[in-house]
Amino acid sequence: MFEIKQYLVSGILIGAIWMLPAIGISLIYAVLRIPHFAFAEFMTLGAYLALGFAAATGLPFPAIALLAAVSCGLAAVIMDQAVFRPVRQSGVLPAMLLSLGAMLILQNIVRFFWGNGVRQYRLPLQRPLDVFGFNITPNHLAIILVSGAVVFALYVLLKWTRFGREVRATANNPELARVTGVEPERVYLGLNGVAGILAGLGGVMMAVYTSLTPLVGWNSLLPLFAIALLGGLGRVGGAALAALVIGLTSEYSLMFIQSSYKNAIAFVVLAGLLILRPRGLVAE
Amino acid sequence: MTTRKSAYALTSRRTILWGMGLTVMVGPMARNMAWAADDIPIGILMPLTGAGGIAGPHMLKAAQAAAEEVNAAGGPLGRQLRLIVEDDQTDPEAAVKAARKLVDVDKVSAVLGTWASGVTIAVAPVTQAAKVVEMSTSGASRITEVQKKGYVYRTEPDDLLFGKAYAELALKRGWKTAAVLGLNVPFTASTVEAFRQRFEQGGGKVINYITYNPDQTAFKAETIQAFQNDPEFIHISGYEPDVTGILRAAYESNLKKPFVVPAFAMSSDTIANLGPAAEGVILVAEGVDEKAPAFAAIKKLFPGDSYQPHPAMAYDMVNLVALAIEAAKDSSGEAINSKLKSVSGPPGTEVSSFAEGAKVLREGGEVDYRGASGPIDFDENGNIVKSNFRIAEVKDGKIVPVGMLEDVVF
Repeated sequence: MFEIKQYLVSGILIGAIWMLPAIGISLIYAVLRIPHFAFAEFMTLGAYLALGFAAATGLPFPAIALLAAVSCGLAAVIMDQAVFRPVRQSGVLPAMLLSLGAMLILQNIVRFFWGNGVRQYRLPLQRPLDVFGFNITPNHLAIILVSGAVVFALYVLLKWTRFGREVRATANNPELARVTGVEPERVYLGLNGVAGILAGLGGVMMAVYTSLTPLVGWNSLLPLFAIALLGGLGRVGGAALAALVIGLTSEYSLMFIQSSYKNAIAFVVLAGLLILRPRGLVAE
Repeated sequence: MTTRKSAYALTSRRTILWGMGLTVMVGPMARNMAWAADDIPIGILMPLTGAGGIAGPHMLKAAQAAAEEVNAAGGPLGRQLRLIVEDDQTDPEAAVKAARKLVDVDKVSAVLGTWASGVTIAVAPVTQAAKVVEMSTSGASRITEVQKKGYVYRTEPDDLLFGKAYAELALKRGWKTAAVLGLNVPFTASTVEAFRQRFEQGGGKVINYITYNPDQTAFKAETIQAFQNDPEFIHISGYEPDVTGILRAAYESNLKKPFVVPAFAMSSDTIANLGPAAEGVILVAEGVDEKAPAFAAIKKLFPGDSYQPHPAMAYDMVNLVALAIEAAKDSSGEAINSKLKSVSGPPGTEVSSFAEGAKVLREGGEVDYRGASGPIDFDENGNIVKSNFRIAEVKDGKIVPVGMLEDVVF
């Protein structure tokens, strides 16, 4: 019984962490039409920037996490303008290959400055709280709550703001959006910033939950894309739901199969559900 | 292209004849010169830099101390050992280059001190082809296959022996049920199998065996699973990053059991990082023989922390090679290889230094060397047949020795 309850907690926790970068990837794909691998590495960058800011500033950790996330947003915008804007009209393949290159470069920047070793934030270890019979540490609870709040804010942003309408319009039909007065470059700029912030924040959360290694992003790459696909590309709610489904499935799978097959579970779920619902979990 | 052509042209029949003639004349001269030189070149190939940089410099210090003692006692066959030191950089490629230099240029008859398993495996073909003895402190089980081809020995317990040690520790403490969390790589598979075998022979049972992938970072679910059905202790067979993750997950889930982990998977940095989550963890380290007379030398070299398995092994390697030369009355690699097993193990008078051993050998006796790192008796494959292990516990953030496992055998 204990493990059934605990897997619920750890499944939601890992899902809450994955959903942020996965939503970023999903939105980028919906609008820019590229599978943007580099955003997995913005997780790594965010995690390590937080480590650097913590050492340099001594601010409280939430402020440091915010600072790291915003820096990642900025970095994503700069990268988009410098690297991806020139190939905007050249189709999917050049941009996709560039994103692979950017991924490797980001990962190796981290390796260059912080080395290959395993690091930890200087956060004290915590004993779990008992929340309605579920064991969870205060930090892990904070991760779930923050992630939920961010997803809700994002939902509001996309649904009820002008920027959100422009993003959705561009995603649906870029030509039509342009005709109706939407400036696509402005949408791309904002969206890269948002996706960068989401990935950076997700990276910090992942490092709080586990530890810092230059592989934080790389190890998340496959689940992130599985979640983005399963959620239906461009759908915030869908990606959030898909993240929980994949998180819970991979944790509960341990009751039946060895942990070393855990990574494959995301794909079994993806394949299975796409057969049943080809357009994603929440397609209209 | 022209240079290449002229190079071929040089290899005319006449040149070959000249060359053969020269070889016939110079060959014996060179050999005579080698005989005449009164020192014996011994190659030292240690990880002075790279990942093994934590071990190499200390090992070198111990090997040099041993050579000084041997030489002070007159040296094998009345000749002096001359150590030629190369850095293997903990890198197989660099190690092979350095080994080639030792074998081809310095004409050493033994190469001592490779540390990383990958390095030992890479260097073995070079030394085997040249009939030069190679001795390592590498643990990987697959090295046994390499050693079966001859000339390669190790003073480090095989990983399998580590597995047996975990089991004996558990049985000694009266534990009957175990959970194992194992990194999904070949080294753990064989160690865990060895553990299971000995543990079950002693009446124990492995009730949970959970494997996880090398790139995994979150261990909460795996840790919870390991605690199912209330095992009496949990053995983690892995490396530093995953051991850290598991201990943390257990602490954060309020799960408490004794953890038994390899000492090499927990540095003092990790212990500091983990803080309360590392308290009470039981560490198993390959042994030294603190009661052996030979250990006095290691104590003298490292007065602060004298628990230094690899330097103790390096010290023993030099003594063993010197004794083998004395026993064979010849300093070639073939001669050393033919005598290493007999001077390392029974039968014979137990000796703990070259000086003692040489005296016995010169009187026509046999010796059994007891080293600073343990009894060191090589079996037919060049593995040590038994080994000591040290048990320590983390108390108040410090590694505190709490006992020894002596003479753990296969």
